[in-house]
Amino acid sequence: MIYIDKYSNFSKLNRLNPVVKVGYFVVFLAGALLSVSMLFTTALIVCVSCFSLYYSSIKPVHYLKLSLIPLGFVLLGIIPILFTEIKAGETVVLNGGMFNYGITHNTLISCTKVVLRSYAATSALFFLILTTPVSHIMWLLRACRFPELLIDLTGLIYRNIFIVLQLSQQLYIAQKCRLAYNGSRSKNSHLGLLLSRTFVLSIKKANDQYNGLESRCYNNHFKTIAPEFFVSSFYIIQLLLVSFGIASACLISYYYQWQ
Amino acid sequence: MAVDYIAQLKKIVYSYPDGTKAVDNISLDIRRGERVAFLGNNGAGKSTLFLLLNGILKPVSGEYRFDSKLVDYKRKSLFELRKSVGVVFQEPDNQLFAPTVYEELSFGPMNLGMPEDEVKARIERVMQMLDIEKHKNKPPHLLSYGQKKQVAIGSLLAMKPSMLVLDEPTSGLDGEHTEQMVKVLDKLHHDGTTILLSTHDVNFAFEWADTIVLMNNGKIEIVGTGIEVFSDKASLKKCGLKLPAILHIYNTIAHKCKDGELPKTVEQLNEIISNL
Repeated sequence: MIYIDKYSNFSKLNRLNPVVKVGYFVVFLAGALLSVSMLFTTALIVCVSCFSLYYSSIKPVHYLKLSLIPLGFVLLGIIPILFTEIKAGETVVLNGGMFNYGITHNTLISCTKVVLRSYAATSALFFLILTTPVSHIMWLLRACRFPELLIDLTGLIYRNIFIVLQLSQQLYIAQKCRLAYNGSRSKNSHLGLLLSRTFVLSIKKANDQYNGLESRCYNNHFKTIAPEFFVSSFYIIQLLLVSFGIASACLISYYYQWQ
Repeated sequence: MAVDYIAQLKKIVYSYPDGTKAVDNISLDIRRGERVAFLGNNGAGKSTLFLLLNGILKPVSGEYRFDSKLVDYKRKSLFELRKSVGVVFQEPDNQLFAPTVYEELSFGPMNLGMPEDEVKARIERVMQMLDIEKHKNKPPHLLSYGQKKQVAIGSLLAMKPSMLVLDEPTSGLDGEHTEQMVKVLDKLHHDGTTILLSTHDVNFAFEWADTIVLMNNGKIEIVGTGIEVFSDKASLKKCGLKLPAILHIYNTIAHKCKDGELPKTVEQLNEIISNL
């Protein structure tokens, strides 16, 4: 987790103008949201994942592990859609018993569509975060005239997340070295100690960091020089082709009413 | 000729909110272009004194003059002080916040209101000097400890301070990074920058510094040249410091040597030994 942004920093598209990368993201996301066909959505997931794997520095195994993170949220989210009141004439897949609630063929199809659509949207987001460092996204937000305060806060929070993670990791190792987390009782108390200590140290770190800013004439504005990017016609043409492909596939699936 | 002092501290006292007197009645004059090493055990007050020099902390009492001007701790006065006094903290993570090294280096000079071209030129110079060009697009948290330390120093150097204050610059660094750090410090000294640093390395302090300040319990025990300070055995004992290896070796052969100047560098010691 500490090194998650390493992928974007070492990606092949690292210095590509983030506007182009956001363009890809928007096209992929639009494809995911507008798709009605499961076949097309699956194809989109595979296609976007291939793009991410090719352009970022992530290994396929790590990518698969990363893809599993949203799975829990998606599965929790589909429960209310999956279980519905069974009406007369519906094909029942699983009957819930006395309450007349269960899983029908229609809800199963709807849930599969939701899961696939969510994964396609997540894959689009993965493409963006695996190829675009947060600093470049911040640059883009600044260019879009987002409020400075919001962007500066984003930057500081982003930086501090890694400090807190690193801190908690060091504390965890220090605890483990002294045989911590043995037994369910000690696990809770040790975890409590870890959290409270991380919290106290984080406050101290934040204070020290503010001193670090003050010592360099900080005047409530994070003024730095923007990074330099390149724009390549290859990526723009590729983006146009991808957009055309996704739009065509969407239209075809609408026209033929593909499931 | 009158001595040109860059910083003058007069009876400075600083206490933390819990009542700990971290700096206790310190008076010290620092000459322009001087290399000063602060020695002392942990909790001697070195780091607090460094924060006072940059105006991060305000003394409870005492007078602090920088470039002969009294620091009154008003906004303008603090800006002028911080523009001229760069403090490099012991822990580089406390200093680095920007998403990339390049942006980190630009933060200080941009705060000084300089034009972008000038800032870019300064950053290029600093990156070349510290050999960190290859890291310019990386986020600081992906760097090693030594690299982070270099970036932290670079972020101050880009502001071109007339006095650079470094809190244990060589702690946690490997041999190669330490050597590179010393080269950078020598270059800065050559360019006329006043350098103050704290260290636990008596050998380095003895060889490198023009003046050594020995601190203990928030007070200054002794100020002088390396030879003067390390000749004061009582103060050394009080501060729990040992003699530098050069003097240690010299002391074992001193009875065979003619009366002369004490060696300050390994080369001088070698010459004495070869003349025996």
